[in-house]
Amino acid sequence: MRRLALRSLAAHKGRLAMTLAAVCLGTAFVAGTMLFSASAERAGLDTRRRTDVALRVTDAGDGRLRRSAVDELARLPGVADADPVVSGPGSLLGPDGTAVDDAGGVTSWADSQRFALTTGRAPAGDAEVALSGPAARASGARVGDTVRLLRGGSRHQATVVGVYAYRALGDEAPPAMAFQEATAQRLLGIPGQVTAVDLVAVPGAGPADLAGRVQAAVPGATVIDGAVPGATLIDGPAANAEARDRRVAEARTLRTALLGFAAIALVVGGFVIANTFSMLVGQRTRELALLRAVGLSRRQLRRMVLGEAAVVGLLGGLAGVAVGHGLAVPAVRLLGDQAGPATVAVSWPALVAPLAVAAGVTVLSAWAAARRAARTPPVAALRGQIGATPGDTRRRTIAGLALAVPGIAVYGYAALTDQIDEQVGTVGLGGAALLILAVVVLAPGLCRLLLRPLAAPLARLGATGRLAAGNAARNPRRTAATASALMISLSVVTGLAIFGHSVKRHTVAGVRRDVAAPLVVQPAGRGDAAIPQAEVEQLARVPGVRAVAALRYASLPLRAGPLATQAPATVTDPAALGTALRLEMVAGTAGDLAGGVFVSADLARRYGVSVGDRLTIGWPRGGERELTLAGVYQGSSLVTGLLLPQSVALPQLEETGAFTALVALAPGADEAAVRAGLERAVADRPGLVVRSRAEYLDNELRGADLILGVLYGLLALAVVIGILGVVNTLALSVVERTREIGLLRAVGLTRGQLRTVVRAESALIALVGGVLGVAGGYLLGAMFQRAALRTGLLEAAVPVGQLALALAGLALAGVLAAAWPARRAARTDVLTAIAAE
Amino acid sequence: MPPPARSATLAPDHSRDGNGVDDEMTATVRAAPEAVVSAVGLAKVYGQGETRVTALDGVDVAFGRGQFTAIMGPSGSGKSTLLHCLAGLDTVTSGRALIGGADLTSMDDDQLTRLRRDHIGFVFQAFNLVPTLTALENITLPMDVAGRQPDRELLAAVVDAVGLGDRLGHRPVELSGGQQQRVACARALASGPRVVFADEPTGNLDSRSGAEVLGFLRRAADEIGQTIVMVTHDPTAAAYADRVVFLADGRVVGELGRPTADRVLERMKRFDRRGS
Repeated sequence: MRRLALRSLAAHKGRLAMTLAAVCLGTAFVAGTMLFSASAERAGLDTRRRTDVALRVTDAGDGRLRRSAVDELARLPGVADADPVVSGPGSLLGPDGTAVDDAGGVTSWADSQRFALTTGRAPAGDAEVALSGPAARASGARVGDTVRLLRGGSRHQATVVGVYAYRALGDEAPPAMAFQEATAQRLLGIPGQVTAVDLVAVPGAGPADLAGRVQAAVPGATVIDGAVPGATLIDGPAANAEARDRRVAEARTLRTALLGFAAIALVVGGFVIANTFSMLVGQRTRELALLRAVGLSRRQLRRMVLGEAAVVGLLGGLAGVAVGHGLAVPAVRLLGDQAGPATVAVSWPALVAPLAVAAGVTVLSAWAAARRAARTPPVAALRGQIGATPGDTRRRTIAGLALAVPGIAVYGYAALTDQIDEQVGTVGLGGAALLILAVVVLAPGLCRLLLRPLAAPLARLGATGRLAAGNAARNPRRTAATASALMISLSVVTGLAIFGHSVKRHTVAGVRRDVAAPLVVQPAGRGDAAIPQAEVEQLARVPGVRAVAALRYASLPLRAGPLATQAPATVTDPAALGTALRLEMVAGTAGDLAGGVFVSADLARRYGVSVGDRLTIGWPRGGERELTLAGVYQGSSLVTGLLLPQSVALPQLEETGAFTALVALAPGADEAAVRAGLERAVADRPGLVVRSRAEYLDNELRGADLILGVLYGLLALAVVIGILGVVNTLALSVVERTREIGLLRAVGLTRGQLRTVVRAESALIALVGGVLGVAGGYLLGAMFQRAALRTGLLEAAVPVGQLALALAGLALAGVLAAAWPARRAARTDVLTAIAAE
Repeated sequence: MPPPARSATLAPDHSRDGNGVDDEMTATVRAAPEAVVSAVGLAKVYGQGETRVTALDGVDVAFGRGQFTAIMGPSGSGKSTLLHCLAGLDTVTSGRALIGGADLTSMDDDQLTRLRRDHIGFVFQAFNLVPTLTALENITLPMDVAGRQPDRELLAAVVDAVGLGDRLGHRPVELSGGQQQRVACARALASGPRVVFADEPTGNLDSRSGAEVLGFLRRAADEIGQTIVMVTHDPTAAAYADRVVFLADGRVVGELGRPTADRVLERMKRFDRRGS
């Protein structure tokens, strides 16, 4: 048995090449994902953090504490040590005078766990600096070099005396430059002040004990000189644990998302595998019948085919694990902490699970072929009918309709209901998935329908065109399975394209409608810190600025009557409404915000609330507040959910940084002059940029394009596997049609014409998959954008040009996919072909 | 044996003498017509050293215009190899294979392909038709492939002779074995080739269907003066030809004009006895 399976594999190894490639690619995706996420998780756990700090005391107001508070805090019982920390913005400049990427932050040096010197010594003089490892690497500066930095709009020089690895507390961003405490205070313009005090507890005392004592000390304001009221106490161990948990959770979320894409690739690969085995079984009818005739049972035959599949799966899986490992290594090097890049965390599950998945998917995909092999009647050995497949089209049709009917019902409901939200959208997407599945089941019939119009242009090629169309239509099941693989991958790509296009159009419309301000201040990149309130106020003070609408986002518990939910919220300055931020009001007027809360139109509809209702909003820092619903506005990508005045909400939020600050000009102010003023104001914050409204919009769209690009990249693999499936089907078909090819060559088809036939057939199959995929993708994309943007199904923006281009590209890919099978066909020796059994 | 004919061009030739269509006597009339196909010292050797097999050993033979010739011989006599070499399907070790004066042995693959397409018709023992094309599309395939309009008159005559009637639009699987072979013959004839090569065209058919196919070929020779070379091992089939060429061990060992099944069988027996 085993010998039979292995011999048969060896005999067909050429024909299995594409299947192996499909398994390998899908597995590589799975293995790469698992290795990367495991490494990211490990890196999150391993990142060296400060472990000695029980409590970090900072100020919630302007973020400063008097230097004297350090001594006061140090004297509290249970405190073993109180370390002053002076931290603030500032950026390291490269040799060319521009800010070095990811090399921002000034801090005070201390002989504490915060710093671990890797080379050199601690900064001692006024013009000495130590750099963090990444900052030193990014700037190319070494010990002994003189570096420049930008702080508060002015430039400073310092000599590098050391390089350190920083140990952060919790999610604290490691600063790039460390100075003597006094130098740091001077640079940051806060002489005699610190930004945080780290308390080390005596043995036996925990963060909770210390917190109690610090808080108890607050009423005696004289002790701490009024600096601590409003103090924020950060529990060191808890912050570390939280940061660690967040990293782990992020790694796991990423893993889930990537595995989703891997699953798509595997499903597509499954079609390729199923097709290969089905064709191999068809081609081996005589051999299988002979085995039956000499006494193998059906079970044994089935096991033989499944055994072959398992071996193929394991081989492909092994290659895939190797490739996946190769892909994960460079990605993992991007992780890591100050001490250096992370290494790949090789774990047994990350190696074995992909193998199991590969073997499982391959065996499952080969199941139908194995059953068909087992049904081979022994007498077929004599008849020698090759590849004759009885089509039980009726059962297929029934199954297809059984999927399509509920699919249409569910999809139709989600498309037509006016209560659209995430849940309904998910249901609708489920309906779309059912419909796509129905198309897969009904694909042979649909292929026949589609081939006629698609093949029409081939008629101009004459006989070769007719032959190609005939070949594509000859075995609709095979064409369908090949096209289905492409269809599934293309559905997701198209759905994403439609979704992305719709989101972009929605963004453009929202920005045009809502952004009245000509200038926008934003963090330059995703990693850059948000704008704290102090800086927002600084912006508002720039001459010529009339109002600044800083937008902060949060998710807040909301109660209104029987409703209790978690609602998205936007917090901004009511004074900036109308000048910086324009709202399209559905009910109420924009001026009413100061006294209450607004709700976006779709939330108002979903929650069933209207102007005048009382809403109870819970605060992240505890407590809640009842507010009157004063207006309903049209939501956009910029302003969503509850809209709260910052005077009410800002002190209650945990994350108070703004990601967008819209700046309106005073009447008569010159935009260029104001822009220059804003740029001066953010000069020492290299993380912030000033953009015009048009630049802002461009940047928003670029961000969407970037995300779409990454997703397309992840999906490209599935498309590649789908195209491998086309290569595979054609190559096996060419083998199957050897005699026919011989005949065609004998009656005068040239090699070139034969290649044209194979290429045209390939393009046809690819186009069938493409057309079905675009149709399926429309179902997905239209529903996805409807759920996300709360629009009508037909409001989906279809990137017609892009899709047409994609279809043309797919046809071209089909032609390229045919290269190898076409060459094989053209090389067929006429005489051997005619003589072939 | 007539020497190779004077050189002729490979252009399609429809100017057939309308008078060669009358009776059985035409066979003798055409006893020495100009040769359309000829082999000169044709040799074909397979393999090397120990495994060396000589399939054709200096064959000289010519097939005249309008002549229906059967090539006979025991298995391994080289009859199929001779056909393949003359038809440009197989390469030649030495000697020359000429069609209409053009030497096949000096042609490359493209030239041979074009020669087959435009000037040669084929009927194989089995698998003659492309399953995805209808009967009519199969018949016009060589012309379609060449991008050439078929000669309407000739096509109509051939199609009419196939006797398929309304089944011309059917796919091969919907036709009987005999019908399929008749369609194959029609394809071979429809482009008006210089010669039709048939390799055991009745080998897979029952005697009645076989007779229909052979009658079809006979009429082609009679009515449109088609040159036909047929390989067969069946004396009854050979009896439809004007002339039988006997092959043994890669050599021409005899010839028979106006054959009957009995005479052919008798000859075959003689060769067998001589060979043993």
